Amino acid sequence: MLSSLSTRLLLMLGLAMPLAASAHAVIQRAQPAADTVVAAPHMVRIDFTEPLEPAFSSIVVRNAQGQPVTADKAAVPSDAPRSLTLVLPPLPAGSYQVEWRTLARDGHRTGGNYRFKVR
Amino acid sequence: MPGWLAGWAMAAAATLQPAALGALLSARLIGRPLPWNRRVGCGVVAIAAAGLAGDMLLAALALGAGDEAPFAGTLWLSLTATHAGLLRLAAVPAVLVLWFDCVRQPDGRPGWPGCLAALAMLLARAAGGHVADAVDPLAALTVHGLHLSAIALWSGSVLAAALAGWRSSAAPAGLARRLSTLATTTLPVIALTGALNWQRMQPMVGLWRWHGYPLWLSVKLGAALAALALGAWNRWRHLPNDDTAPMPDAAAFWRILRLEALLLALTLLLGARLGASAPGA
Repeated sequence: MLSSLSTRLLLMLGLAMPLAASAHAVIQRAQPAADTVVAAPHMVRIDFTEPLEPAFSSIVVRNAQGQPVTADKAAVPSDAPRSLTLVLPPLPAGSYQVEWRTLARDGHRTGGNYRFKVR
Repeated sequence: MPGWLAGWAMAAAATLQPAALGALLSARLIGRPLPWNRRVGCGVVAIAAAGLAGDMLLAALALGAGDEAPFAGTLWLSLTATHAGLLRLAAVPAVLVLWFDCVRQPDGRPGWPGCLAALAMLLARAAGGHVADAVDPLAALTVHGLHLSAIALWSGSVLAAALAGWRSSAAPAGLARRLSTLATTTLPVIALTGALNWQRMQPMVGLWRWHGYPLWLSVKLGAALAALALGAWNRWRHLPNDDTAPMPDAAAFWRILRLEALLLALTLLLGARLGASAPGA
């Protein structure tokens, strides 16, 4: 009796439950994008597939000498929990590497890097 | 600590909680046939607390790996500024309620406050991991909370019987029958919620490679099915129809039950590992 009732309730719940893409945070879009040549950007913005934990998500932008171009920390905008932004100082022409690390809300850590050039 | 070892250490710590909480809940549900006392009850709560503490420390260690920040700061930040950390903090008052309830009860079995606290801890565990980024977190939490609670009940009852009940139960056939009833009641819930969890993970299946997540999921399912087959075999082969009748081969029954307990402990361990693994990995 109990099993039959729980079975029916669970089936109803299953029919009502939308499919969800549970995963770790991977890049959906980045500005500047990887391997592009752009005018000096004001910020780096990376959109991920999952909501992020701001306290353990970061972006570091390094110049060709490997030095970070700013001491500022990346932030997760309150209206965009899947995005990570870092405000940049005026960047001279050259090659830059973006290093990112995230902790998604589901507890998974991911990280990576890519390059872009300022003309 | 290497990443793979940290992952398994976290899973081991996380396994202690559902195992201990399931044992405590089943001590209340099974009642007198399962030998229990205040010392055993408090010991099992201490195991759940140790699992929670280990989970907190290992998560902070993993988050701080490669950083120069002091560990205490990382621990505090991981507990107060992350979804999973806040859930772990929320489990602290629940474990205290469970402890005081078991101390208060003459037989060490949790009363209603303790049972509610144990369920709250299981829900807090279920709310972390992949549930946190589901499109409909409430539905995902309901499904996974039921799944984890039902598996904890099945595993916890078998583990408690295998560790505490087999030597000293006054009515082993009665205990075996209640274990069997508990398992039979939880199985439809486990199967259905497992299928719904599988449905939720479907969009990621295309990303799977044959290691990590899909491998552990397969082994987990295999271990659960083997435990189920052993339990069914034990019931039909060794359990007399009358609770008061002597069991024809009690030694064989408890031997099979201990094997079932091992398989269920493996199921819990792999379940915890899956909760901390990326499905696409």
